[in-house]
Amino acid sequence: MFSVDTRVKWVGAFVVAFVVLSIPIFTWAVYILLFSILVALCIGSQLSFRQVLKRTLLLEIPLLFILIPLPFINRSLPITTFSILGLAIHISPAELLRVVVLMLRSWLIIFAMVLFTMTTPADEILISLAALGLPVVLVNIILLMWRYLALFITDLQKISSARKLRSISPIKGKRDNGKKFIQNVKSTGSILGSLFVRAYEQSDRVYQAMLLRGFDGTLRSLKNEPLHTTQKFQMMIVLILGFCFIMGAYGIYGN
Amino acid sequence: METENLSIIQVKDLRFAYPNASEILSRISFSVTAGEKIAIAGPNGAGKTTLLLNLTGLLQGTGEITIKGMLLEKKNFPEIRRALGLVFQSPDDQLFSNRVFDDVAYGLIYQNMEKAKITERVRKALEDVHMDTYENAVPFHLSLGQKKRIAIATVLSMQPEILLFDEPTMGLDARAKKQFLQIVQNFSQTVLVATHDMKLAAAICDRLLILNEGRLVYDGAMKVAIHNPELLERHGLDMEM
Ligand SMILES: Nc1ncnc2c1ncn2[C@@H]1O[C@H](COP(=O)(O)OP(=O)(O)O)[C@@H](O)[C@H]1O
Ligand SMILES: [Mg+2]
Repeated sequence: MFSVDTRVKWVGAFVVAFVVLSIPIFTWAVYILLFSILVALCIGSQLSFRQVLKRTLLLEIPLLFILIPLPFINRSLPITTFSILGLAIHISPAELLRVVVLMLRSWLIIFAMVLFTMTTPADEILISLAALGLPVVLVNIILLMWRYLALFITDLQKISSARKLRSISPIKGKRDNGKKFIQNVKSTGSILGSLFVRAYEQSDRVYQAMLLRGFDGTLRSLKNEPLHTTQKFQMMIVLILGFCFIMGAYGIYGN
Repeated sequence: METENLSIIQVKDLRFAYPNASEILSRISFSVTAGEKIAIAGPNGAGKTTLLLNLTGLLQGTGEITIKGMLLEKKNFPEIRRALGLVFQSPDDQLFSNRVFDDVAYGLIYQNMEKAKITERVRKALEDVHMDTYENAVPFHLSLGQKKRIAIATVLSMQPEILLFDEPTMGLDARAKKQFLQIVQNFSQTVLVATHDMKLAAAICDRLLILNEGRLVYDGAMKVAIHNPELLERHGLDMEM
């Protein structure tokens, strides 16, 4: 997965999303098949499955909050009705199932995206985006921000470990908790301030270094060359597979 | 006028001040012949870094700088910057890719070079700094000495005629310093090294410029200067370290 061209991976991720979104909602077989393909890719790229899972769940949780109200605003027959503070609340089994499936669907898409991002360096994702038509200026800004952020984070780590080493841990039983807390807030504030200045100055120098090596505002990458036949072929296969999934799903549904 | 045509760098009456600050460089003039190895020494804050940045056009003061006979001005920047490479004091300013290879290739990609040639140049540059087995390493994770060598490779890969180094041995241990020495001694290019490490300067360079408080206070043979402890001491330098 690591060596696959970024643009092919983009197509793959989009195909997964398209398939998942366009097939009838209760075609379990296709979900399971897609899931096993993704898991196979994950294992094939030697990624830790647990880590991938953790990341997908992190993204899934916000979605949960959007979907939760769905079973409550239903039109079908409720199984339970109960009231809290005078508000009548209905829950219907059909809607509940729908939510579960929707969660599953979105989770599959997120899974594909996470797999994609974990096997591709951030720079390349962005540069390939430019190759696929995103405005170069936008990509440039994001790219520079990305580098700036990386610098900022390493500085933060350095400073916070330096601070840990310098600060003496409080002796238990002493009664200066309040003071300590205020001191902490103060020093954190000043650290953040100096960090911003440092990161800003460093990003300025990084930019200078880029200029000296010929950076002219355009984006270039070694990988940014025309698609080879093999890559076009890979894209075709992914697309055909996706098409088969959709047809298959409707076939199952039709029965 | 004869000498002017031979000189690869010509600085005339250069003055520079940062915005809202007093003058950092005052009326600096000197010229460099192709192939010379020159140390720019001076105490901290003397203006060494500022001078190097002026030579690249990243900072612009008043006066006249010509590089390879071209006036240092915006329209000549692309050509001048191709002829001139600056190795920053901190390699973290210079390395920003996820892979050593990509960082060393960066400048070449902007020269529209073919992929095969880029690969060849990158390999050669990494070999020159004895880092050829680190092509796929993450620059972030390397030691300071290794990062500095990669930073040099990013400049070497572009095969510049003039190499500028800013405090190249700062923070390095004895072994890494020695490695740096060996690398530079193999260069046939023009080299300018800003440093306050006189031992290093004496080992590499045969000409010395001493900068103090923005003034050029000495421009002459290295041999003469190192036998003049009084001169060195007056400008915060010495041969110990
Ligand atoms: N970006 C800046 N803005 C304002 N003053 C600066 C800036 N960078 C350096 N200086 C000042 O310029 C002087 C010379 O700095 P520098 O060229 O870095 O000296 P050196 O490299 O010899 O140690 C110092 O007094 C420093 O405080
Ligand atoms: Mg300096």
